[in-house]
Amino acid sequence: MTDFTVAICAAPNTGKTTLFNRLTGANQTVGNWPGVTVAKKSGHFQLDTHQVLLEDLPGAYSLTATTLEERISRDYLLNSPPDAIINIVDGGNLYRGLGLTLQLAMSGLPMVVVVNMMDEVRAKGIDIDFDAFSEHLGIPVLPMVARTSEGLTNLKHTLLSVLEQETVEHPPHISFPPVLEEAISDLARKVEHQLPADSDQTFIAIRLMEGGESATRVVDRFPSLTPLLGEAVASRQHVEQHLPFDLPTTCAQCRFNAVRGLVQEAVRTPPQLPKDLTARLDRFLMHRYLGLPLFLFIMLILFQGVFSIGTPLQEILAGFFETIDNGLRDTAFIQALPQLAQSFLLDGLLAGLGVVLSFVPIIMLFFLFLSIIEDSGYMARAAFLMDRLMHLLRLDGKAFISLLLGYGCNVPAVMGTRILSSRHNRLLAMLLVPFTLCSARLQVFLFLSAILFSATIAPWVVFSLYLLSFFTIILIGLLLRPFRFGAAEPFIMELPPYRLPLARTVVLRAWQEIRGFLYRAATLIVLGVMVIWFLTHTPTTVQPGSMDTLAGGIGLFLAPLFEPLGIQWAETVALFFGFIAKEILIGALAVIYGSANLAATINAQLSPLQGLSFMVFTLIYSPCVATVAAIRSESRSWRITLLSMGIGLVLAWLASFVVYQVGSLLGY
Amino acid sequence: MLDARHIPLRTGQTYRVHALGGDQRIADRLLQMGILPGVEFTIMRIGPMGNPLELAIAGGQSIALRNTDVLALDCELLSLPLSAAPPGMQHYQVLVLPAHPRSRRKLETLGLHLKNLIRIEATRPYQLRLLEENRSIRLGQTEAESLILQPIENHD
Repeated sequence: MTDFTVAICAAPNTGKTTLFNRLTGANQTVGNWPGVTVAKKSGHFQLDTHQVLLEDLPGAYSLTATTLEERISRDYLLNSPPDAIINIVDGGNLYRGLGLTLQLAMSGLPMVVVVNMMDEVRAKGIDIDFDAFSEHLGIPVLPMVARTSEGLTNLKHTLLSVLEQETVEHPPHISFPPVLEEAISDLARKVEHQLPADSDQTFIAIRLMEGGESATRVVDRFPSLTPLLGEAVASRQHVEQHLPFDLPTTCAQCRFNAVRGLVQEAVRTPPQLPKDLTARLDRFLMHRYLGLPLFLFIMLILFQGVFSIGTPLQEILAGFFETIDNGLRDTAFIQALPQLAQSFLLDGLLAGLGVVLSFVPIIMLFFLFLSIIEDSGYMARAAFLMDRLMHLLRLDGKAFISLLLGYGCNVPAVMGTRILSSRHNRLLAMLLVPFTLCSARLQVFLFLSAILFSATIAPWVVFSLYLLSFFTIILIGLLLRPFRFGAAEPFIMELPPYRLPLARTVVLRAWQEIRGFLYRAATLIVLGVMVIWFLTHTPTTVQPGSMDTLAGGIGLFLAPLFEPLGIQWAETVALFFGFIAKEILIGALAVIYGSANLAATINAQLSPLQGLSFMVFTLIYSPCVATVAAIRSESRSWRITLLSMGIGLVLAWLASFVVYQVGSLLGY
Repeated sequence: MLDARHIPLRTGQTYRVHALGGDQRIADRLLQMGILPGVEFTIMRIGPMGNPLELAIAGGQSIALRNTDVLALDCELLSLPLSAAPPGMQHYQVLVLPAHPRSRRKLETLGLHLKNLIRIEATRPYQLRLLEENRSIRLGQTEAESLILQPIENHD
């Protein structure tokens, strides 16, 4: 039972998530805002005798909605006003943060302002007079260090008195130029006639005058205001004739003038700031020539970290599953089942679960490292360094990190596209990630090239496959350039000061990602594995994966299609297995050839050129089922998911065709 | 008024924004971040391959913006280090002398003082024309990076 609803509303990089975690602990659920891919977090906490529902609104700089996140916040506050708002501002950057604070304050909703990162503020020798601040703003303003919980008790205490209406708030009045002031109060009076007294007429009048979607939403909520729309437009035109700037600029100017006054009243800054750590670090990390090598070095450490810890963990899990598998096979219960059911349970269901769990260590480690990079403020720097290059593909610098992660494993790379700033960027990056040469594909290529090519040539084969992967990404990027997925957003990126990431936040993030992966992707992965099991194991009377199974039949049926690529039916069937996970391609080949000495058989079955064509196809064709599931769950669109698989299959065929035919012509 | 379209964007230049012209979405976003007409910013850093730019906004925040978006703003060049100024007929006034004692002494011996009017005859190596005394002096790279100039209207 919830007594009060409280919303956290703040600009990005203000420690919103940290405070949310501090208040709710693990009592939180992650969902989505209706109809969009922006995550919605809510949680509960106890405040005295009351149960409080805390909603975490997406990061927004203002309520004049330009981005999806801002639109969500604005609509939420308008359509389902909470009992109170907690507004957080970064103490080191009060000026910017207070713009939103004033807009929120004008909505007339009860609120508490939290000035976060007070430790950094104090370290800089800046002094904030909170009494003066609260008095001038007309709203309680509290100091806080969310990282260490400093000020949390005080926040709860103040929030309680605001919710129980013991603290009377009087929102600040922002002075506008007289002509605008008159127009707004004129309109506000007319609004007052139409609406109940408890709604904030000035706030609504300003929204109406802003026009566009902002006004539409107001009218959606209060249909009785529709006749005022035309009047608002005329009023705006009248006002703009008498002002040097348009209405949004004027409003922002007035707001920030008020902010400047507030800051002047309450903040005392020492004349000379110490040359801080951020500037010193940036001298190296953002260096024109050193910056990129350092970035690549940091990513190399990330990869080393993920795989040197993750691979042994994966092996332990695999060993664990093998033990279960062996143990189950011998039990009387399984033995009593018919052959088909035995195989279904062990080779289908259990194997599927094994695939799901094998990703858990890698996802956990990737997100541990990724949130360290993100929380420390380095992500924005990396994006800065890579922006020029990624801009060619109509992406911004952050997308480079997603693509780079793909070279480790596509699954966390696709999940990591969530850090990108617009839906367009997220979807485009998602479509490009499957063409990265992940570690599972690398295993296949190392194995095959060692068998088919001499020791001097084999490394070059693998190297050229890497080049092909880069080339494919650029090609697809350029091909998709004309398409826009969702509205474009301008590239304005904040470069926040460096901060030490908090272990608690980092671990919580990794845990949430794993939970999200298990909830949303697991079913699809197990389903995919079972479909492949079905195709390769029916009918039951024949050797699994052989020519007489359904998969074999499809392989034979597709043979004419694959013949120009130099790929025979056996490898075609192996590609089906490769859909489960690329690294099991090799094992599948062994089963299908039914051979004890796999290396010799492969050598006998495939010419080096056929092998190369097969590897090219393996690199580009549709990614493994876990990646497909991740794409589906991140994009929430089957069209994007199918498009991704479609592009992969078509392009793989074309690339292999070119390799095989040109190679044949050259006499290999 | 010397604006961003007249001379190449370089590290160390300080501009004042007169209007957030150009792209409406960029303008809206800047407004919401409190970056308004009248604000001053310094180009701190230029990314590899010339893009994007890191701007330090007066008041403490740093943002990254692309070259073209900066050019679309209507802004006036307030000051720049000698190393970021192109040679030409533009007149400048010496606004800030280098902080380092050795550079400062060197400029003193050359006879370059605060408020001197100059014109840049050549860069790398740097040659300045002292307009009041009608003679030329040569400066090294270190001095050029920390000598801050203010562009002024040519009176001739």
